[in-house]
Amino acid sequence: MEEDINILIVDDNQENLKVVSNFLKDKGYNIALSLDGPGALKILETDKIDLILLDIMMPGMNGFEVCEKIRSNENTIDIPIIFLTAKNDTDDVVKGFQIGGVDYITKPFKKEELYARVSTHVQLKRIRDWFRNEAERNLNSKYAFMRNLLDMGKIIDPNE
Amino acid sequence: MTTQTQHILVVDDNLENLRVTASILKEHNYLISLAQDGPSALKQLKSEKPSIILLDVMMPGMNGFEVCKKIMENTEWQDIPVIFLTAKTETDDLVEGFNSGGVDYITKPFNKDELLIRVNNHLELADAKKQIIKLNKNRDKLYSIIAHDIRSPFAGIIQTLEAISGGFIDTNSDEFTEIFQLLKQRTLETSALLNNLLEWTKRQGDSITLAPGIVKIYTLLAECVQLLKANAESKNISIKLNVPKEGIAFCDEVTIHTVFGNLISNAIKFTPTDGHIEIGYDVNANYIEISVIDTGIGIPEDIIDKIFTKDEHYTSRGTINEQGSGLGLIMVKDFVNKNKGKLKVERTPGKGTKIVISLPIEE
Repeated sequence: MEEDINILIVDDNQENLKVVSNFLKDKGYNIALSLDGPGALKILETDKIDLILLDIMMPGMNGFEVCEKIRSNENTIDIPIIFLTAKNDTDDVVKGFQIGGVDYITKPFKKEELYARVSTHVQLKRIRDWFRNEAERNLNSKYAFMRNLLDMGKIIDPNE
Repeated sequence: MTTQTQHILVVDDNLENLRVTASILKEHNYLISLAQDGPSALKQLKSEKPSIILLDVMMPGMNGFEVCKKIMENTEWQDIPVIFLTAKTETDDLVEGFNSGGVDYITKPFNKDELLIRVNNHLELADAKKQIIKLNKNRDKLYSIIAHDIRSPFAGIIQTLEAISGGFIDTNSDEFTEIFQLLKQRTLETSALLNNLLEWTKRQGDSITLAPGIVKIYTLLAECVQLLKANAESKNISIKLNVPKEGIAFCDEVTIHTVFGNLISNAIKFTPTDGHIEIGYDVNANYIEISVIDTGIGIPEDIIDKIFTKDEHYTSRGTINEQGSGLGLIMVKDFVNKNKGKLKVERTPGKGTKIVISLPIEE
């Protein structure tokens, strides 16, 4: 992994948390954990998170509510959220997409499946960030570099 | 991020499935092609490369995993994302799907949103990867051009200036007058190249905004000819502008100005002293055709393809050793395409070059 990728996993089931986080750690990701929605939101206030795996069925605040909070905050609006659903509940899937989830994974899942989804969205996030930075770089360094060349041209071509 | 129509190949032995999947995707403006088995899917890939493939796993004869492996073995195709379509009972096979090179899978019967979001995610990812590769290539090319075509004339200019300031050349001699002319010429050429480079980098990528409108082609060409008059006169080349004053095209004035400027300057560069350049005009259906014909040395057959490819850096000197970047024609082609026009090169050996640009007359 070229740079650190931080993934936040939110699930009220400790065993699930352990399995998922161990697997993703093996793949080289940094992991943050939370057993509930409020805890997850607190982590998001301080940590830079690149992707969130979010369980839907949780006591207190459910996954959809957590997602809506994350989407309504300007600082966290771009973070991709993948829902973890207990069974293939079509209503949950549709609702998840509607409120801004980028994908979902049905539990129990295969490691390959988890990794494929996570890696797709980590890459998409990194690429979007890259393009955003690239646009800024274009405005700054690349043009500064080209401008230097142009100034060099001006020195010897006074008509320019 | 993706603006053009994306092409999806759907492979499934079940006609009803094909129909349902295709109709969902068509509704969202994707271009669809269909195949009912692996071998015909592979055959289709040879004639047209899709942006993404939806591939059924359970098919008689060659199954989806085998098809996917074949696709991934081909260097032309291995960047196409493959999403598997599987029946629920097959989930154990998933691992094999990922191992054979699939990027994801969708369980049938699938939810419409799920299909669209997965397709969209992988299209965006594949597109972004392509764009990054393109950006890197452009950057490499830019550096290589700077290294070759800007550094070397500057080195020559600086050396000559040092020789003069060091007193090695008698400023009253004929030799000095000649060197001075050469210095001036090199400097102007390098400066023109620099402007081209700047224009090109500035207009690279999707951020380019054209402002197409009705453009008076005669005025634009007359301007280009005027700008290059000195170049032509120095080689005693006559330029004839056979374009009616009322001729119009629907295009972006700035980019098309660059196009004609480059074509005319190339024609001058590759036409020997005392030659002629003729700029012709024709109307063909909804297009106007502007041709630039010179009596120059012509473009060698084996090089015609190279000068229009970004990946290859081809440059050649003019008839009196004028510098070039190998960039001009790439940019010209880029700009013509962006203006929905066409570019054609005709060459009669020993008779110079004819380049024809067609541009739409109406929006």
